[in-house]
Amino acid sequence: MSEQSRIDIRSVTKAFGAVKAVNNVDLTIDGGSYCCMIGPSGCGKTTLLRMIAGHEQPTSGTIRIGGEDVTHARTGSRGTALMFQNYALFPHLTLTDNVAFSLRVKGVAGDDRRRQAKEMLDRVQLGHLADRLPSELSGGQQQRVALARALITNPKVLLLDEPLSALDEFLRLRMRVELKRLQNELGITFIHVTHTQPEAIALADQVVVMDHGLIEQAASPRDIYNHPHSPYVARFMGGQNVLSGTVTGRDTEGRATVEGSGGIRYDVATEAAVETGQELRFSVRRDHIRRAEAASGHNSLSGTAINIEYQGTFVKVALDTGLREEFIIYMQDDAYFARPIEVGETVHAEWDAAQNHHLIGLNNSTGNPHED
Amino acid sequence: MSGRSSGGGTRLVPYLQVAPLALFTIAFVGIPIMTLLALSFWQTDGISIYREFTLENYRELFTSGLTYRLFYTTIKFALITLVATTIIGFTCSYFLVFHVRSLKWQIALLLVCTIPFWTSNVIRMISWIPFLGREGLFNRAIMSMGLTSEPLDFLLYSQFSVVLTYIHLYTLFMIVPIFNSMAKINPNIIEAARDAGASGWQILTTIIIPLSRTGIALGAIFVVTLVMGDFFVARVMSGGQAASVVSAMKNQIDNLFYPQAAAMAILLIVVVALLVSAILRVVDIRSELAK
Amino acid sequence: MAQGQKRGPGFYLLAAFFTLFVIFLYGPMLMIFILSFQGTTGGLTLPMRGVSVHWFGDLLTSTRYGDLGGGLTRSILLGLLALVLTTVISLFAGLAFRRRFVGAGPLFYLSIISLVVPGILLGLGISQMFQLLGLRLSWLTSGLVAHLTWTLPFGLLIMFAVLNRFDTSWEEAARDAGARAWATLRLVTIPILFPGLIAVALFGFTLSYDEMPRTLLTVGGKNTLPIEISNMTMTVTTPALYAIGTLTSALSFAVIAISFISIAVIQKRRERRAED
Repeated sequence: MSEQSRIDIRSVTKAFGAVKAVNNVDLTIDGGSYCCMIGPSGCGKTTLLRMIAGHEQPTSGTIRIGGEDVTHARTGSRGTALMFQNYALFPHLTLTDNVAFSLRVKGVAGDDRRRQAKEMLDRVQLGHLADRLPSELSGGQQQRVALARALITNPKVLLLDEPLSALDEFLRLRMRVELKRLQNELGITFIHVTHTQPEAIALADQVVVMDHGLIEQAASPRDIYNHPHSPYVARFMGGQNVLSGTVTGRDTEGRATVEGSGGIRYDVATEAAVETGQELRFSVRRDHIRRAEAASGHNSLSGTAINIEYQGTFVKVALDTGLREEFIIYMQDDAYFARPIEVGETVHAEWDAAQNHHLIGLNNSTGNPHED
Repeated sequence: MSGRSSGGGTRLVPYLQVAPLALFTIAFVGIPIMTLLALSFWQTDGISIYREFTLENYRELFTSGLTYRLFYTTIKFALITLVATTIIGFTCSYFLVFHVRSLKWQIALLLVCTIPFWTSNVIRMISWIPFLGREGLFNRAIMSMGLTSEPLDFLLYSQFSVVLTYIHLYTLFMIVPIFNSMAKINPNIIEAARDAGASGWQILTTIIIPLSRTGIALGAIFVVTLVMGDFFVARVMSGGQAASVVSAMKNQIDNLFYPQAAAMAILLIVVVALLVSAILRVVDIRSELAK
Repeated sequence: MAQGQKRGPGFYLLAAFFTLFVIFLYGPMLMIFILSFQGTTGGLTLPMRGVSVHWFGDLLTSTRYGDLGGGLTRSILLGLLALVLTTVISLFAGLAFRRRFVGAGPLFYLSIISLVVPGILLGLGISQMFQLLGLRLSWLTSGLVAHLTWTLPFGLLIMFAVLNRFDTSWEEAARDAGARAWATLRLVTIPILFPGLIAVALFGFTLSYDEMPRTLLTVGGKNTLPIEISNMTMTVTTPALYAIGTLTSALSFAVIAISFISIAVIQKRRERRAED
């Protein structure tokens, strides 16, 4: 199964007029894995998904599924099934007929296809509503019908276009678990487009972060989170502070010495070749930052507390350090409440040099997730 | 992203789908209008047509005082009808949208207004005759009430009956588009205006009328073109007294003066086009329709 | 707007205005209907001299009134042809207009021209074109074509409105399930659009059935019913004129009623299937 449902995307470009929605993208998605594509709206993730499904034709490049070139194969004959963002259930057909639709098109006899559809509906716990019309279902039920309709085609690859975006918070979390369980059970490839970071982190074996038609980074959630490729990825995925400075040299351990604003020195381990005088950006995880008694001038930063939010298990403290971006610390709640911080108070922060992560990529956009 | 066209080598599909309409419209709307244009520059002696260029038809048209009288009468009819149908159409739509509370009743009452549209115009026109005539219901009624001793003659076979019939036939072309525009007005806007202290009259003039202008313009185009293109109502209901542009043209056709009729037709098309573009100048219907 | 408020005097004033308008709209037609049952000796106006169906019988038996039967047959046939062609052509054109294609703008404007150019002028153009091409005018060729210049733009505009509420992802979902173009059209697009298509069909038939200005110069030797009736208005001075009015209006109302009932039945059936 695993090799059969592997996806290879090579040099794929999709141009709409002068705009390249997807720009020369290479990506391999392992068979049987759960892949999440994430990025702000307009980043090309949906277009890439629709090209895999065959609803868009790449302007150039090839798409292979299980080694077979499907770039120009007909939609519905390439082993993919797409679950639409608004579900696109046929309003004139009952749930049974909705689910049985692909069988009907294939010419499966009426009784047989209804039996199979019923089984599939039972599987998503909607067997008792088999004769209803879609308009009579709740959003969560409609979503399960859409899932059943996609799965009855026995796809090698299930494509999900923002499947959870129309659900309320409670249902979203439940369906998230359901999707993961289903993917484990079926062992097929799931490609899931989302613009919600926690969703991607929670579900994916592989997270693909996109921006402006390009793949910024494709890696495991842990890699994405610990080793973001660029300032954009670090900001977009969240939980990081992005800092920058000028390289002044290398220390004895081979780390780059970086001088930030205010003359503060940072030691940034890097395998990349860096030259003295160049600008270097790096990230620090917000939860790896300590509060210090005084400014040390080394792997540290001081600023005025401008906002404090209690988050349950930790406290989010935002500092104005004179830089363009706020500097944010996630403090354990017991550490925080041992000595609470007042807004307006000067706070010193420091961290271990090992927490500095060199951001090699150049994409420095703000990474604020756009709301759709 | 969802609005984009789907792939699958389907670039040709819209052309195939639209081909029947396109071919038909070019062949039977585009070319006939071109034919009229060509015909208007050809010569005739009243028996046969010679395909030789002449401006004589237009010269005759523009030097005849009759032409100006015909256009004056026809445009006068069109404008009076336009004003009356706009007032009636606006008032009725306003009542339906803002005073009828349930959607079901709104639709039912709108349907009541539109059903006559699907019945014969000829029949609807002649249905005024037994009402307005010397012996008609109206004259009998006012005479029995003692309001007048003699039956009123101006009611039928007059300019009055022509315009009345136009209003009767064409008001629903106003009601439907104005209703559509008004139904799209977000009630919260009116609430907000009321909260801001606007009076009913101010709400009407500053919110409802401006937001209904697409519908009014659309209705105006229908009414103006229908009245300008009419000959039958003008002929029958005026009792042959008032002649419209098209009824004069019809006479030329009946007498086989086709090139002259074509010149008149082209002039009428130009006048109608000017009136329509004047309306479009006030409201950009195409961009408003897209909303 | 006035939710939960008491109805003010404005409401009653407007309601009275609306009622007057409805009387204005239907009153004369009602009068025709009553007068068509005029007694044998009755005239074109009130009072009624008895009640009879004499004038209906007169209409059917007398030859004084022109070729009414033939006109009716031709009008119904033309209406049915216009219905089919308008529905099919408008459906596909409407589907095409959802995408961008070269010439979409000019074609849209030409369709609008077809709607607003005075009908008789278009009829004149079509008849002259036919004659220049050496083709004979006939109700089934030039007449039908003239009717379509009236029904097609209406059909197209209705399709625009209907397709506004049609989600293209339904078609994509069908293709995704393996349906080819024809199956998608047959199993998804047409069934979902069906109530809208009935509306297009209704317009196609009734607009054609009542058409006159475009028909007048293009119909050739044999007339349609509206032309026969309009000729009667010039010549006939008996209540037979009203009888034909009653008959043809009844036919129009029947067509409207059948269309509305079938739309209602389809929607009811969809709902009922949902309830079981």
